[in-house]
Amino acid sequence: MNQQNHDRAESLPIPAPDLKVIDQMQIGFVKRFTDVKQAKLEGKPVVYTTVLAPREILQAMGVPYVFGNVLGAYVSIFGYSAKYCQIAEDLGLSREVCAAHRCTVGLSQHDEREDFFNLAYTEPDLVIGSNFPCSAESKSFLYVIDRYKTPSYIIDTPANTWKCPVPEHAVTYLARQYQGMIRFLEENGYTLDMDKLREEVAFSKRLNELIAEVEVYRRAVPTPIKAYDSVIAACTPLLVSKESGAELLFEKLRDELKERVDNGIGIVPNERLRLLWIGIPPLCDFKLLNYPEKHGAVVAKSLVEFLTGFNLDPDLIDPDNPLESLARASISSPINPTSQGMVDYFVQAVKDYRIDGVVSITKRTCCLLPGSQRLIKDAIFKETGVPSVIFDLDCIDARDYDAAAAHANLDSFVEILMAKKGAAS
Amino acid sequence: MNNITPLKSITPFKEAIAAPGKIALDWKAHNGKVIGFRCISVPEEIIWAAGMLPFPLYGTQEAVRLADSYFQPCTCEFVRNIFDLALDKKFSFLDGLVLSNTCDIMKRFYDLWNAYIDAPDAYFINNPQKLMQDANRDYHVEEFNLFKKWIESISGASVTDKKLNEAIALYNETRSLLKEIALLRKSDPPLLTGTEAFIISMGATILPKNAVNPLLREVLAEIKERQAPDVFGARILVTGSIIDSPDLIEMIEEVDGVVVADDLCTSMRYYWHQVEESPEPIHALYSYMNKRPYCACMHPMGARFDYIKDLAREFKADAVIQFNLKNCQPFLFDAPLLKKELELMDLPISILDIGHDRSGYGQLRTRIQAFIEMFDIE
Repeated sequence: MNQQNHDRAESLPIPAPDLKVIDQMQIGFVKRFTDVKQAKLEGKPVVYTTVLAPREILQAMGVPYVFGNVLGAYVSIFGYSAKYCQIAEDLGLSREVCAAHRCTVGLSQHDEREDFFNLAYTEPDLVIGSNFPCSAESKSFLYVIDRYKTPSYIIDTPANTWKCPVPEHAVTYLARQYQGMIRFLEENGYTLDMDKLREEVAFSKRLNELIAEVEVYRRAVPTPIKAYDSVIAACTPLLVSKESGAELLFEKLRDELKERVDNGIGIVPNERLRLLWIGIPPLCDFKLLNYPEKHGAVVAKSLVEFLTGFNLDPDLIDPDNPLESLARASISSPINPTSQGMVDYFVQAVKDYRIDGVVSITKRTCCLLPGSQRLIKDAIFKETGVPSVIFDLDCIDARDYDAAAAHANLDSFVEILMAKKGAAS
Repeated sequence: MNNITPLKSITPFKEAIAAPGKIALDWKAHNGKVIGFRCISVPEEIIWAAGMLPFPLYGTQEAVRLADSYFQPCTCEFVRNIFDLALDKKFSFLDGLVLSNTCDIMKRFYDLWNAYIDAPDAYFINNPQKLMQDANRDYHVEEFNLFKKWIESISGASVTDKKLNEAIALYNETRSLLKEIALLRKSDPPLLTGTEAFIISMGATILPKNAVNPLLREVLAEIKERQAPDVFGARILVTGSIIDSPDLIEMIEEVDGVVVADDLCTSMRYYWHQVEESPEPIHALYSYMNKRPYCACMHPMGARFDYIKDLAREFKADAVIQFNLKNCQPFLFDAPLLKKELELMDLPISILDIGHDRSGYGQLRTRIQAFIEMFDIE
C-alpha cells in the first residue's frame, strides 16, 4: 500500500481497498445512489426494499430502489449505529431486536441525516418487504410503511425444508409472489417489458457465472484478495447496474485476481493460516476482518457473499423462464432457512478454500445464525476435522461492541491454530 | 377475585397442565400413537383423523441448561427450554413431531431436533406466512396434503375425508365450548377469572378432544350455576408471545386486574374461529388457517391489530398488557406499532419483557401492579 492510501486508510472507519477494481466498485455504489435521487426528482416512485427481493424485476420495470438493509449496514460502517439505534429505541423498539434493523429503522425515521445518508437515502413511495431470510427482515419495513404511509407488498418466501430438489408447488407459490410484486408495481405506475426481464435475468445469470470464476481464484493459496475487498465485491451486484458496467467490473476483478494467482502474490507476505468467517461481518469495525493478517492469517472466505443473496446457482437461472427460475434459485440458495443448505455450504467452503479454522461469531440480536452455529461447527469438524471458535461479537451496534475482546478472541484462536499447525508439521 | 367459589370441574385441566406427559402416556397405553406439535398452525384434525393424539409441546419453568450449548443464549428461552426437555428424553413417548413455519428459531429447533435428538425426524409444514389472502391457497393446501401423507405413513391408517370431517366436527365442538366459556367473561364482573379461563383453555389444548368436550360442558354448567363474583378491577386484555403457564395471568389478577380476554396461542387464538363444514375438508382447514387470528410471525400485521382491537372493544378492556418473551423478535418488533394503534383508541398498553424461567417475576409483579393501579377502579 502506498503512503497516500495508507494515510487514507488510517483516517477512515473502513480499510482502504487493496485491489484497484474495488475502488471502482465503490464509486459505482455512489453513482447508484445519485441515480435514485435523480429518478425521484423526475417523479418516479422510489421503492424501499431488501437485497433478497428480485432486483431483476425492479431493473426490468425501471424502478428506482433503495435497499433498507444496505443502508442499515452503512449506518454501522460509518460509525452512526449508536445514534440511529437510539432513534429506533426511542420509538419503543427493544434493544433485543436485530441491531442491523434498528439501524435501518432509525435511519428511516429521522430527517437530519449526515451528508452521506442524504445522498444514499431517498424517501420511499412504495415498500416491498420480504421475510427472507428472517423475520426481522419483514418486520423492520413496517416502520417505513408506518412513517411514510406507503403502499406495500410483502414477498413470502418458503423456508427450504425440502432440501433439493425444491418441490414445484413451492416454486409456483414464490413465482406467484413475484407476479404479485409486478402487479403491485403496475398498480403504482410501472409497466413490465418481458423481454427486458429476460435480459435482466440473463444478466444475473452472467454475473453469477462471473462470480463463480472469481471464486476459483479466491481459493488459491496464498489468498489474493483481502476480506474487506471481497465484501465490497459481494455487494457490487446489488448496487452496480448492468448499465453502469457491473459485468466489466467483475471481469476486471477476475483478471486482477488471476494475475496475482499466476504470480503467486498473496495479501500477506507469508500466509500461515486461512480462516472462514461465519456471522455478520464486523460492520462497526470493518478493519477487524483484516486484523488476523498481523499473525499471517487471512480471512479467505466470509459470510457476506452468502448474505447478499448473490449465491444463486447460475445453472438454476433460466432467462426464458424468469420468474420460476428466480424462485427456484432463491429457495435453493444456502441462506434460505432451514440450516441444511447453510451447513452444506460452509462444509464445502472449508474444503474448497482450504480453511484451517472457522471464526463463528454470535450477534446477540440475530435470530437466524445463533440457532445454527453449533450445528455448523459440528458438521464442519465431523466432515473436515477443522476446528471452530464461537464467540459473542455485536459488530453492528457500536455501543455493544468490544474491540479488545474481539482482538483477544481472535488472537487466542489464531495462536492455538498456529500451535496446532506447528505441532502437525 | 378471592370471593369466587372454586370450580371443581377445572381439576382435570389443571392436572393436564401440571403433567401433560401423563396425558400422552395414558393415550399411548390405551389408544395408540402420539404426535407432538408446535405451533397452532399445525392442523391437529389431520392427526386425530389418523387415530393419533396431537400433543402440544409445552415447557417447564426450569432454567435452561444443556440447550445453551446447542442454541446461543440470545435465542428464545421457551424453545431452548423445550429442547432441554427433549435432550432429557422427556418427549420420548412421541411417535413423531411436526413443526410449522412460524418464527425463525422454530426453524432452528427443527434443524437441531433432527440433528441431535434421539427420536424420529421432525416433519415441517411449510405454511405460508402471508395470510388473509387467496393467493396462497394452492400452496397451503398442497402442504396440508403432503402432511396428511406423512401422517398416514406414521399411523398406517388412511385419513379419509369422512374421518377428517368427523375430526373437524369434534374439534369444532371443543372450540365452540371454549368460546362459550370465554364469552362469559364479557359481563362485568366476568363470570370466571382470567386464570380459570386460561387453565381451561390450555388444558383443553392438551387433553384428547373426545374426552375434553364432556369436561367443558361440566365447566360451563358449573360456572352458570355458581354465584356471580362481586369483584371489580381493571379489565385487562393480554397479548404477546406464547404463555404456557397460568402464572402471569394469575399475577395480574393477584394485583386486582381482571383478565377478560387474550390474544394468546394457548388460549383464545386457539379456539376463536370454527372450521367450516365442507365436502373438501383439507380446503376447509386451509380456509380456517388462512382467516383465523395469528401471531406476530405472520403477515399482514394490520389484521392482527384489528383482531386485538375488536377483542378489546367486545370485552370492554380498560387496558392491554403485552408479554414479550425475551428475544421473541416478532412480538418485540410489533410492540411499538401496536402501542401506537391502541393509543389511537385511548387504550393504554403496558409492554413487559418476561423470562420463561420466571426470572425477574418479583419486579414484573411490581410493574403490573403499578400499571393496574393507574385505573383506580373500585
